[in-house]
This record gives sequence, C-alpha cells and structure tokens, in this order.
Amino acid sequence: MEIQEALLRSCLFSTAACAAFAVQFNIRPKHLLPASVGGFISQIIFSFMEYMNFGEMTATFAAAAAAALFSEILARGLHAPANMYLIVSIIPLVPGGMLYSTMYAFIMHNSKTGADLALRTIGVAGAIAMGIFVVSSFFRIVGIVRKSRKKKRC
Amino acid sequence: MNETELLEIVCYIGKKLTRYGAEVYRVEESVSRICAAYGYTSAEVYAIPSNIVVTVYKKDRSPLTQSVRINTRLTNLDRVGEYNRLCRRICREKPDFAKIKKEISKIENRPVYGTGMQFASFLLVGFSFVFFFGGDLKSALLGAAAAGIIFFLTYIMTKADLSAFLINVTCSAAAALFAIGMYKLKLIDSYDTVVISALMTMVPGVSITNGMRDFISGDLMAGIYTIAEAFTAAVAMAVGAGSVIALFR
Repeated sequence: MEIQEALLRSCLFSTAACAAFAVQFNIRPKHLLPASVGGFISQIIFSFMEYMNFGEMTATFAAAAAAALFSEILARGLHAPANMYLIVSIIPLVPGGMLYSTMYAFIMHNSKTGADLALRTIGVAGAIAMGIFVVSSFFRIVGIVRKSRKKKRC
Repeated sequence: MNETELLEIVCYIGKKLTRYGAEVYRVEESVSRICAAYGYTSAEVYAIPSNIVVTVYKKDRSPLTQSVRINTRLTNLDRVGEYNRLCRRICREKPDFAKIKKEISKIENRPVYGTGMQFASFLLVGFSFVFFFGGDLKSALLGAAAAGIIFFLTYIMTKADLSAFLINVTCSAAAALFAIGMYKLKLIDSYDTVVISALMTMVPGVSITNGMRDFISGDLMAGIYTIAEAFTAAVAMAVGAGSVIALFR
C-alpha cells in the first residue's frame, strides 16, 4: 500500500513538473498535455522497474526508450518534431538527486562514496542516452527505407 | 527567387531553428531541402549550434556563400515546430520571396507564455520536485520560493547578457544559500531536497536530448558541442551550490 502511494506520488508530481517545463519551453496548450503524459509514462516505467529490483540503469534505459517511442509515435501523429515531446518526457529521469549527492559526498571529503556516486550518475545519464539512441535510430532507419522505396516506385 | 534572396531566407530560417532549440540534423536538412526546391540541388550546408554556412551553386555561375553566427539561444519548441512546417510548405508550394517573408513574420509573432506564466512554471517545478524526492509540504513551499529566486536572477542576468556559466553558478549558489538560511532558522530539517528541487529548474534537458540526437545522425561536432554544453551546466550548478554548502558546513 505504501509503495503504491509512493509510486502514485512520484508519477503525479513528475507529470506536474513536466507540464511546467513544457511552459518554460513554450510548448502550446495543444501539445502540452501529450508532452506531460510522456513524463508520466517514463516515470511510471522507471518506478515500476525499480520496484521490481531491475537496477537503476536498466530501469532508466527502459523508461527512456519508452519515452522516445512515445515521442516518435506522437510526432508522426500530431505532425510536430519528436524532440518537442522527448525533451519534456525525459526530464524526470535526469539524475539530479544523484548528482547532488555526488557533489555533497566530495564536499564532505567522502571521496570513495563520491567516486562511486559519480560513476552511477554517469551510468544513468548513459542509460538515458542509450534509450533514446536505440529507439530514434530505429525510427530513422525505417524512414530511410521508406524513402528509398518511394524513389524506386517513381 | 535569385541566389541572394534564397540565401537570406535559408540563413534566417536556419538561424531561427538553431536558436529555438532544433537539432543540427533538422537545420541542415531543412536548408538543403529548401535550396533543392528552388533548383540549387548541389547546395552545401554545414551547421553547428553556433554557426551555419551555406553555399549555393548554379551552372556557369560562381558559387555564393553566406554564414550566420548564433550567439544566444532561447528554447521555444513551438516555433521549431512552426518553422519545420513552413519548410515543408516551401518545398511543396515554392512560394516567392515576399510570401515567405510574410509567413516568417507570422511565426515570429506567435504568442509566447508571459513572464507571469513562466514564473508560475518555475514555482511549480520547485514545488513538485520536493514531493518527487519525498519531502513534506513545508519543504515544498520553500522549494517553490527557491525556484522563484532562480527565476528572478535568471531574468535579470539574461537581460544583462551574462554567460550561461555565470548565470548557472550564481543561481545555484543563491538557491543553496536560501535553503541553508531556512535550515539555520530551523524551518526545515534538511536542506537537500529544497536545493535539488530548485536546481531541477536549470536541468539542461534540451542539450542532453539534442546532443544525443545529433550523435545518432552523425553530426559529431554538433553532438560534442551540445553535450559539452550540458556538462558545463551540470558542473556550474555543482560549483555554485557546492561552494555555498562547503562554506556553511
């Protein structure tokens, strides 16, 4: 019960934060809600996988990939650039807290903890990048294949 | 449309796309497609996030080159979408110079969220991230206040044309100072969540995403530039907040 509450809380507030970020990036109301839903999706997948003990890197990778997939599909459906949704969707995954803990550990002269945390932060950032990389390259390949087919037909 | 007019149009659109936060891949493709639509099939385009160079050729004529420098950037994804749509339309309909100019000014006059709305969005980011990181209501209100301070400082320092690094250092230091002050006044039990939440307003989300997408499309120079930008922002925030925390340790 407690876990459900924590899950609901993190998902709800990450969606609110995503909507606020969408305003900062001047995304108009028509696209604002879909972009925030992207944040909700990435956060719920991350929380769920974290809860199932998949490890933070795997969870981040899956969540980023899901966000990228959602953005690419939405971009084709709503005729807008994919990064309009992607930028907002991945914000809850950015390891801000971990980066802060890294800095804090170094200030407190806990170099060992700091180095450990720094590696984890880089790992999570890399997982976000890989998640986007896999899905976006897939969509790019599909686009290229389609274009070359069209040319052959002409 | 002659060469100079075409160059003026593509350089303007490229500059605006880059300025508002499009990936370099999109900029280069848009420019070369517009050139191709007007018969300049062998146009050369090279773009990085701070500069664009376009050269157009036509048979029996000497090549023409124009470059633009992009100094400041201001994320506005709505206009990226609109310019993208305009580019497609230009390729389809091939309108004349005056008509494109009119369309561009239409896009430039599109509404933006006002300062009050921007301020509210900063407050909301600070507020929600405290709950996100498991804080209580009191910390959440202070997190919103710290985010408000960041908005205020960013607003002034952007007007004064200061560098992004300096803005990030100052803002994060101010947010940490505020949180520690509240902690010393015994208003909160720990200042961590307040500081993190306030700093989340400055997360370089655009740079991370665009940098990655630039790498995917093979624009390594642009990718390195954009990722370095994200890294610099993260370091600046750590330096600002860290120095204040170290001071009051």
